[in-house]
Amino acid sequence: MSESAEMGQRFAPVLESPLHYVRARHRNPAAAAVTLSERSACILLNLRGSPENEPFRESVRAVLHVELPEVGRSADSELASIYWLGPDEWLAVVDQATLAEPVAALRGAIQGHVSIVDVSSAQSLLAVQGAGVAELLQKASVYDFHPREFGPGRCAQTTFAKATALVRCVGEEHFELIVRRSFIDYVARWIVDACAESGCHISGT
Amino acid sequence: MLQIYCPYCQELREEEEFSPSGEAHIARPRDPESLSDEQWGDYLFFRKNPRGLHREMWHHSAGCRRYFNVERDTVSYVIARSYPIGEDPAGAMVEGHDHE
Amino acid sequence: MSDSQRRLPAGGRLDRKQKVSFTFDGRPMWGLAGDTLASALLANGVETVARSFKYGRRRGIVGHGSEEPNAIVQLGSGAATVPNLKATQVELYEGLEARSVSGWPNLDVDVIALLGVFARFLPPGFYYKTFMAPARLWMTYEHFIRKAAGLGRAPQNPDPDRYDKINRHCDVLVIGGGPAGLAAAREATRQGSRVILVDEQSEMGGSLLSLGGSEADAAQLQWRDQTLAELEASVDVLLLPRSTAFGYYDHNFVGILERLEDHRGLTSPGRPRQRLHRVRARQIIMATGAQERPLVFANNDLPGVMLASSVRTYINRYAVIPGQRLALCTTNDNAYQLALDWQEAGCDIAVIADTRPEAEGVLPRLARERGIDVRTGTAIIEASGRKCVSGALLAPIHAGGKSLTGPATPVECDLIATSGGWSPVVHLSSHTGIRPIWDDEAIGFVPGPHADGPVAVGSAQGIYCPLACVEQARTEGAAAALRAGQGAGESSSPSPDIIAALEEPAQALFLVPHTKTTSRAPSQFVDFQLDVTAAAIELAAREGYESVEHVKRYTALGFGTDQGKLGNINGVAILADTLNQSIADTGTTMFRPAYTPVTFGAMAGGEVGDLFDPERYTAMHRWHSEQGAAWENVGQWKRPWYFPVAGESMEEAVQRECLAVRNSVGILDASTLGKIDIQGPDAAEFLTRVYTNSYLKLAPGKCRYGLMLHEDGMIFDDGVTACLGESHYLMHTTTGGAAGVLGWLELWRQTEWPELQVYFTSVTDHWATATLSGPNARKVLARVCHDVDLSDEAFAFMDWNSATVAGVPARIFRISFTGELSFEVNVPANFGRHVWERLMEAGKEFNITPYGTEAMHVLRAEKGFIIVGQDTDGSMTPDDMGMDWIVGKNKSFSFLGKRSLERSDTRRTNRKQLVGLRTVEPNEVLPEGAQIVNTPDQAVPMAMQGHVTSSYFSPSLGRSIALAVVKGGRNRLGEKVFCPLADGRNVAAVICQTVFYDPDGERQHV
Ligand SMILES: [Zn+2]
Repeated sequence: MSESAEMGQRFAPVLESPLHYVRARHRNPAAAAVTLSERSACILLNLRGSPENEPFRESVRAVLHVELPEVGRSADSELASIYWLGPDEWLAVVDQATLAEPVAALRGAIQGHVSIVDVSSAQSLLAVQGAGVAELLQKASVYDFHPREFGPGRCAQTTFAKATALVRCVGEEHFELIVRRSFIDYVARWIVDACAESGCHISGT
Repeated sequence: MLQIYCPYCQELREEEEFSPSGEAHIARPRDPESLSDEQWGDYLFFRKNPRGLHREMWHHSAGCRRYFNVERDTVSYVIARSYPIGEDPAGAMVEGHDHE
Repeated sequence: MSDSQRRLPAGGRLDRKQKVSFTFDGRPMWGLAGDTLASALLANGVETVARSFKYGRRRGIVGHGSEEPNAIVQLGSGAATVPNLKATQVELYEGLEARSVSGWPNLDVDVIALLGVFARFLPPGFYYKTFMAPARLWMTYEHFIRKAAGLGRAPQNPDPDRYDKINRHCDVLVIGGGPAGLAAAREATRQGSRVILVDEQSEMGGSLLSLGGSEADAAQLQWRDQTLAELEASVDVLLLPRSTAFGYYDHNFVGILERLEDHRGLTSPGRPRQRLHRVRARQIIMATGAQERPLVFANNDLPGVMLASSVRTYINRYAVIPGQRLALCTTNDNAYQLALDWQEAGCDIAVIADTRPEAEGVLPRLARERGIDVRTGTAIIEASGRKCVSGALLAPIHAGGKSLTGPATPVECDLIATSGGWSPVVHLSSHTGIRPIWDDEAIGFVPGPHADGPVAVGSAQGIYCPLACVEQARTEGAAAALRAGQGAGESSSPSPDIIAALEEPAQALFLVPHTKTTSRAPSQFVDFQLDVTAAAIELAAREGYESVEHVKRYTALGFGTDQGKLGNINGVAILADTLNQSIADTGTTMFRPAYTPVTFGAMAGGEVGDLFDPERYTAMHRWHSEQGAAWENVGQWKRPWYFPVAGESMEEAVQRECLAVRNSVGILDASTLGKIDIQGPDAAEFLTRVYTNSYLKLAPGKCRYGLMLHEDGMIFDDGVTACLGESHYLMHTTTGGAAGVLGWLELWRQTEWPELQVYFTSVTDHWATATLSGPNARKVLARVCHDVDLSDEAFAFMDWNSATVAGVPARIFRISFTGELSFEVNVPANFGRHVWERLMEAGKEFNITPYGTEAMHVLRAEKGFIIVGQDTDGSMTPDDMGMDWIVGKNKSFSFLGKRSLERSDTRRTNRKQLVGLRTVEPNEVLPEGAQIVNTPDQAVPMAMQGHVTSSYFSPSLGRSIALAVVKGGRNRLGEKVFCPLADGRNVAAVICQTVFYDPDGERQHV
């Protein structure tokens, strides 16, 4: 075995998702009204550009197979989910297995003044599910997540406990929570505490 | 505890999501070097403190990260309107600061 | 039933099978499930529950709810003790321990009453007069007053309970679950609104719960049950019993305290004891009801004088008879209900004294038909009795209510019930500053007008007839739903089947005249809790106080924990009469949150202990933790402060870490530095406008240090910016300044320079940063990085390169904060720990040493590198810091803060300037923050010359070093100055250059 190959093997990178250490601590409580599961192995891209920039919209459509969503909404394709963050800002979540080099693909396709930033390690993506989700969200956030106001496909950036989060409604009793990496330990502990009576289970992929 | 309409998110949001950013429509002088100390000092330090309608800038810091302006009554706290930077709605607002 | 209980054989909303034991002041007693502490005390024949604040007079239970001024108790002991509760609001539970909070040494023997000391000490205006006296006296008074005045005792230990906090949104919030509230809530629900209905009591129903057994009363109770059942069955309705809306805030925001466990016991292990609901409502309906007013007459504070509606509540709801023989004094028809129910219960009525010249309404006629002695034009002018009521004095009263028309006659009784009419509960609706307005017809203040604010219904709006209450509440319920966006505004719920006796007008009577003048008659109490009498209010007016707010402060009227719920209107009316003006012109005082006290625990909710504030962790946090790092809080981040090895003190650890960096290699977790990705054709122009220096010529692969100023010219952040590619930059900010800097950049992009094409994205959390620093840094890095030439020639100081480190794509910046050869290795945070551990392995041979923030601070101070926020404080210019070299005076654009550097004040030569300090005694380490004077031989206050900003012991130099800001300091090199310390010593030090180590900066260029 050559030295560089040996090195390569030694350096097989070990990935630790943001929730890595919290997961081990909160597996399988007796009852769980809320289940948190972290999704890793995806690429997160912060996209900036003018919504009037048609080539920009077109290349996102071409590469990610999805339309840039309007205010407060998200959109999905088989390749990616895109969330509205601001009037010229979106977050794209791409499954690494389906599209390995989205940055290069987008950079190649897009013309004009845009910004594409890889923030894959910056956030923790959580699916939050269960009968206790509505109450958990009410405890954590000042935003109104009632189904009448915030149905499937809606997303919003708001406060979450004393941190912030991007929240998306996936379906009934099913939400996505995207939290900055450095806050995730705090947020997870906060959620476990808020679910003290009903139970909270944390898992990951 | 105010409830503020963000013209970018296009909905009412809670005050916790915002940070106040002082009086609105304070334009930076085009050529600071040509100003006297007194004129520069006016731009830097002097702000209105009216009783009644007032225009102020807010930052949707926990939301879309956009700055925008709000016309608020400092007595009743009623917010007459929220509008994007760059707009300068004429009308009811008598106390308005001149744009430049 | 035990004979010892003053309990009716049947009736009441009680579980008669469930006896509940409790103690009051150590005496064992029992009550029934469904009792409040107050009803149980009355059932046990307890008459005196408190001693009064100033005079030590005996006081009994007056009311039955949050208005109760006297029956203030403390529950439990130790950590779980709760002070300042009203016995009328405490639900009885097994084992409850209650103590009275006033009376010393006990309620029966009260020294203050015996000596009468406070009467002399505390005339009206006591507080004001005392504050006008020498201030030192106040301390003496205060100690004595607090000991004797019965404010309860705060718990000494941490609260053992859990609390909870939740945010709520609804279309219509209905406050008060009485008939009006129930009707409004049901109507809004039917229109499709999301509704929250909140009520203080254990069950919804309000005044309906006090009704008796008549046919009409039964019909009303049935309506209540049906309405409640409909609400309970609705999906979008939240019913909150045992919950108090304690504060109404701007834009229809309401704070509600829900008592989840208080009725079960003092602690509730595992379950939240109370929950704070933070409610944002589109529409608010105030169905807060009305409070019965007591009549003010001589000795009206004797135990055994109660509100008519409260007595009715005690007999109907709790089946308690608080006396044997009742004398009722009323200004209205409504109170006759009590007399009828009292008689129904088989008890004796001495007399109904009706102050009106005639009483021909339905209820007074019924009372006469039943043989009750009704005397019109008559008032109870005085209560008699020693420990409690044993009789009353009746006298004929003039139709105007201001004088008596004949002599007084005694009547025997042991209970006096009074009703001076009703005051709408307007507290909440005035919390945002809207003054209530006087309504002559309702004889009370009603809520003032609100723009988009709450609407009052029922008796809260001065509508006292139950049928009219419900009708109005239905209409307003539908209207509120419409304003919230539901329904068409037409009420759809059925008209209730309520038979309400028509009532004749009440009389406005607030102070019952006596045969003697107010100042000579026995005390006529207006505010029981703070012992404010009618005479005191008249005296205040005579002393020149005319504003109701001034009189309130002068007499302390309404300042108690009951917020003067019983006394305020009577007090205002007495003042108005004394001043010879109308009540409307006199106005009322304002009410502020909280309506009833709120525990701190509920306000904090679950955010206590390690959830008090967010803790931010880097990707290597667990590694540091496993190594036993001591932590420093930097903003919300946890950073390793130092890494002690077995038995080391902090000083020893820091010295070892410093020397490792200087002599071999150290490794620092620098992930917390703020990082902002900047892209766009105008990025360089933008950077040049916000930094003092220029970025127009910064080439890809190069880094540059910059200072950021606010427009006032003062330094607020610094950091290194790298050019990543064409129109692409990475800005580093200070750890604490990251969010502020991003907001600052966006501010200028969005508001002033929208024409500049540039985007900012925070990447702080994306990157984990391991800084290798020390002469062996290159050798360590070379072992895990093979695709980049790390030599000084190929990879110079202030360069950066893309590379693969330990198999992970990385950005390596050759920048240094220690003055040593340094490489900052940035990798995606998901691989942060992996790369860190590989670097540790690679460095083993060189004894690589992890170092913390303290060693970093020492190392940079040795080099004279500033830390923004430590060596600067928001009042320092670049020149003050000796950093004029970084200010691009010839840049074409007037960068942010530039003009301010030319202001006369920033050009002063005697501004505080950054210098070094060497103590004369080399082992003496000055405390940071120490003040600097020229000579200690001067009188205090000395002339300050500046202060120490950074100070450490430098292991490399073997002596202490310090940075300081000193007036005109750069021209004073070599001068000796002094730091007078708190321990009385004056430490001498010599002003020197700021760079203590490697002044030519050779070590970072190797
Ligand atoms: Zn927004």
